[in-house]
Amino acid sequence: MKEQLYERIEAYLAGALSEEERARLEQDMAADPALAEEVALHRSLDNMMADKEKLHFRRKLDEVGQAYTQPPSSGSRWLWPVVLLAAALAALWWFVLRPQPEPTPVLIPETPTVQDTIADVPAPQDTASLAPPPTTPQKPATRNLFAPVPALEKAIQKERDTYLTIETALLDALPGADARTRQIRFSGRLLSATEPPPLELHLLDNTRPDGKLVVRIPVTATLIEEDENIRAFAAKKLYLLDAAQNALLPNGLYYGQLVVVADGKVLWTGKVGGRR
Amino acid sequence: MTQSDQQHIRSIRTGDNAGLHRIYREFLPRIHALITSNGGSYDDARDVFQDALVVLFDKCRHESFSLSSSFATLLYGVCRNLWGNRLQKKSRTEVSLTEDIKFNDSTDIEFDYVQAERESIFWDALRRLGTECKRLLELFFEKRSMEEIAETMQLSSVGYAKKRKFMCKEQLIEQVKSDARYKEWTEDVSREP
Repeated sequence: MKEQLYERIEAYLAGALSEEERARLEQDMAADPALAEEVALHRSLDNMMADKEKLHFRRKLDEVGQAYTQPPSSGSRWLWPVVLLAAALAALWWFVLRPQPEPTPVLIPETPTVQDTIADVPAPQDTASLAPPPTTPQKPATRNLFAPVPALEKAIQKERDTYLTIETALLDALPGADARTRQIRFSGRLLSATEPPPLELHLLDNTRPDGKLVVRIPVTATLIEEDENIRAFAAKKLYLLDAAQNALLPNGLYYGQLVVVADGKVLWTGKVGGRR
Repeated sequence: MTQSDQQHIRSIRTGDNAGLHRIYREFLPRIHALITSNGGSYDDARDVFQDALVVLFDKCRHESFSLSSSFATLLYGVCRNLWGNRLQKKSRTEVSLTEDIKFNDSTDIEFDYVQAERESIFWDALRRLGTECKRLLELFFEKRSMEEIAETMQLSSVGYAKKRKFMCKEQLIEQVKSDARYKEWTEDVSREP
């Protein structure tokens, strides 16, 4: 039976057969190429599965590769002329047909609408009619979407926590499924002597003096065992931090803060331009 | 070797998420162009690209690995060879090779391309298994005892755990055997004197 054959092969590869059984299997293999092939297959499988580091890397690649299942050029070939035309029409409206702006400044909206922030891909209805949209007769508020926030800029320089050390950290805003969504990705390495507490990535934008929270993303921490450097100098262990989420984000500057959920302590601050 | 080259190697070593995305964004389009101009599809390009990154991972994780050429040249070379290998097998039947893609190692680092391809057959088969089978086999190959596996997987008995293990492994091995690349590989072996 096949099940017994598998157990025989497994015992053989594990060196658990008696001298006599081993010799018999090797004889059988010499006489039967199909059996030899089966044993070779099991051996290859053993070897591959024993390499945990590589398996981990493959899993990671599968995960990352998910974002690239479509060739990047498909779609954009016809999209580009459309975008350029839309931009030209928008410029025409802005410089020639736009009504005179009101002299009084307009309050900055708390939640910026997509319309006033996405400049590179205007909504199609904007381009279809050259007349200004009747609902917004005033000039949209011009705020600097990329204006830095002093308090957060300072936080980037701040001294780190001594118990939870962030070694490296990267915050990325990748283009999402369509022009308006972006995938926020955070990854980093954390050195900690104990199991890290639950962590969150807070994404803040620059509309408030200390930033306004727009997205909260849970962070996963995975222990990396195989890092000799780390083991050598301290009992601290290295964890891989990872967080990703799709979010509807207008263009602008965003700050990411790695926060301990329990007490709100900020471990790391970084920033990313929400535009590519 | 530039700073960003070093960063790429580091990303591969640590499996850094953002770093790997950067590598995909920066290099996949070029590899796509290479593969499609040599009779492959976008999916072929992705497969080759992924295999190439595994080959690089294998090379750079342990020893004091340093790049003698740029990261781009190295990655391009590895992809070209992986694809060249595939095409050489295909060419017996259908595809004619351009001079450029024929096996031609421009890098001074030795890679085991055949090994890489074989491993990816197993990996693809493993990916196709159900979640439960995958988890069970992972535990099995971690050399956990059947008692432990039965408990972790909440299976009713050790006997049943053994049965499941056999079924999952058989499924995996049958998947491998039905892979076209596996057939080519065994043909190669039998053709060798």
